[in-house]
Amino acid sequence: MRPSDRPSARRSAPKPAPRTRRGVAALTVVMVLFFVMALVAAYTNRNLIFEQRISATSYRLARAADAAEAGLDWAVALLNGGRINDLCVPSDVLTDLDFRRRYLVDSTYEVNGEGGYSRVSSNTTFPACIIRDNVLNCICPTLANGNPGMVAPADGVGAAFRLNFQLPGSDIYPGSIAMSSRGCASPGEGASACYVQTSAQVSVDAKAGGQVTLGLLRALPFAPVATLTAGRNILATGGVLTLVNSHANTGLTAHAGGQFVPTGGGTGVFVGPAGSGSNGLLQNDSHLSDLVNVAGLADDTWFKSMFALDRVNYARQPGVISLDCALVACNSASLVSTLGRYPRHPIWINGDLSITDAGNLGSATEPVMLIVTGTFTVAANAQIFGFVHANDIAWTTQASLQGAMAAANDFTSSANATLVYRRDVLDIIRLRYGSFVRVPGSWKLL
Amino acid sequence: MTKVSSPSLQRSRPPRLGSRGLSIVELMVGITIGLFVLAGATMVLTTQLGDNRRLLLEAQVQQDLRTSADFISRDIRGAGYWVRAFSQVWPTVGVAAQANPYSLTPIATTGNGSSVVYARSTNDEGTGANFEDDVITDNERSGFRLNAGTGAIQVQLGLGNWQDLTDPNVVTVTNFTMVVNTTRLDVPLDPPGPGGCPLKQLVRDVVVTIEVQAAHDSTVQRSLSNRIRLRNDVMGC
Repeated sequence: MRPSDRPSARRSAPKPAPRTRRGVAALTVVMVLFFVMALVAAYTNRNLIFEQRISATSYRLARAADAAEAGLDWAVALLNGGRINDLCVPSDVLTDLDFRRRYLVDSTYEVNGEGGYSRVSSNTTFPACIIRDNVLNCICPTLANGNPGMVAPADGVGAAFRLNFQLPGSDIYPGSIAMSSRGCASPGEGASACYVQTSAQVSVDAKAGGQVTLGLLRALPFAPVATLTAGRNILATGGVLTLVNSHANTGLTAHAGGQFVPTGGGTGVFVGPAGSGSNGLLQNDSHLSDLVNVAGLADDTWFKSMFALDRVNYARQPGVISLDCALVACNSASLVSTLGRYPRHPIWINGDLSITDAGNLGSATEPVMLIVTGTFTVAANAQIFGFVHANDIAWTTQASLQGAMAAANDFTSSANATLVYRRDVLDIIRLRYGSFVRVPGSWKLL
Repeated sequence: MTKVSSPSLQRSRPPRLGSRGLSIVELMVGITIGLFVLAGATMVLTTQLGDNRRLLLEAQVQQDLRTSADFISRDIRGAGYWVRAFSQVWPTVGVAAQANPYSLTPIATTGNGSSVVYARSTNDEGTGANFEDDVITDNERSGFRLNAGTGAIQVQLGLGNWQDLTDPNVVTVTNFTMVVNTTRLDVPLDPPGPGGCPLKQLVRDVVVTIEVQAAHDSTVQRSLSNRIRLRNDVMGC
């Protein structure tokens, strides 16, 4: 374009210049046409995008439904588990509550039967989790402790669920509770997050829900009727064996397949219900001795009559906590440590257990339930609240028990033993201890 | 600079051959090239339209397939649901535990799985208008079957009321089966179950297989297989 170029351009090539310009225009037009054609082709292929969208929606729904289902299973596991902190992590801090105590309330409403659970009716808190890379990040808030706060992933990726406990029907029914789970394909954020502690509508990719009713498989289906039950003999080889039962509906102090045998200075004091004039001593009961003598101690006949379940399946229940004492006998320390982590659970002691620490074991409101496959020895001045079942029981030191006791074989006391039948203590075990399981036929989509 | 020199450029431009118009040869060459381009574009367009039609068909087939599979899995998962399931839990005072009336009627499969009927509760708990009466009423019967005549999957909405789930104008279902598999787990209880047999927990799953083709083009075929674990187990034999 410099002025000095013009004369030479004019002289040597007057024609090519316009042709080149025409070519550029044609090229541009062709390119534009191709571009338009490509747009038309892309437009007609929008079905492909439509397919992608449907697939994505389907995937999100599946994620949400899976999260809801995972929530139900998670809650069943935690209901049968021990103490947890506000982030649902197992804890042995005695001020931390277990999952049941966080979200279920013992109901005193007994129109439909004893032992109903109710939900926390006002200011309800909801346990919730975010699932990310197969890791659960949970909150188990309580009204007292408040919401510990969910740490949601910054990128908003991850499935989530939130649980809500309900009455199984329109009323409180003994031993059952319903829960619903809300599953979300993404955690959401703020006041519309999946895990929010209000009843606000959530804003997430997709949500799904499931509801299920849980039933309590009772750890002690029937409370024993006697203070002390023994398949064979009750032996007092020293000290005073005092058995008290002031409960008029049961009234038995000692119930034995064999006999009460005082030897070597041992004596027995049996106190039945006031005014009954009975000492409540029932000996040589063939119904009881047949359970251990006909089939043998190793058989499950005796155990089933007490717990309505065989030993293997009983010990395998999710709510039963096993303590392995087969090689070395367990003592108070290991028992207290287990009870600290799993309050209000039946403890299955595989082997022998010896009470070596004085003081209270359990309480009238939180009694212990011990099932000892070997020998249960009381070797310290302890005050036991609850129910103890063992193959053999040896009472070697002065101590007391409030509740009831059962030995499949013999009970032997060589020191002062005071056993008092406490129906209220036994009822707590009978109505509240056990494993929560799904009730068949209760699952529905929400 | 350009403004100054341009008047002299226009003035000095000589007359050109091109300004006289197109020669016949140029026209023929142009038309030939144009026709080639047009032929190519038409071919692309035809292919595109064919592909588009096929894609639409595939999307429709896929959509019908997916919708019916989703519908079936959502509904059958709740087979045997009972609103008052908690009545099985615990003998309340003076009342014995009840059996689930909705699972006493098992999932009935006929025609090698091409027809499946079952029951689940649609009532509410309580004493309202739609209260649970523990009786399987007609509207609580559900099911799925293949209508081989029209090639459509049908859903039972109430006893004997079958309605098309897939659109026979869009897809023809060539194969539809629902196979129920039952695993019987021992229940560690001595008392026998209903009928005097040892009580079992029946864990069930259903394998749904659907094969379809487009009604307008039998070359467009799709199949889908889904294994669904039924959430409501049955206590029985």
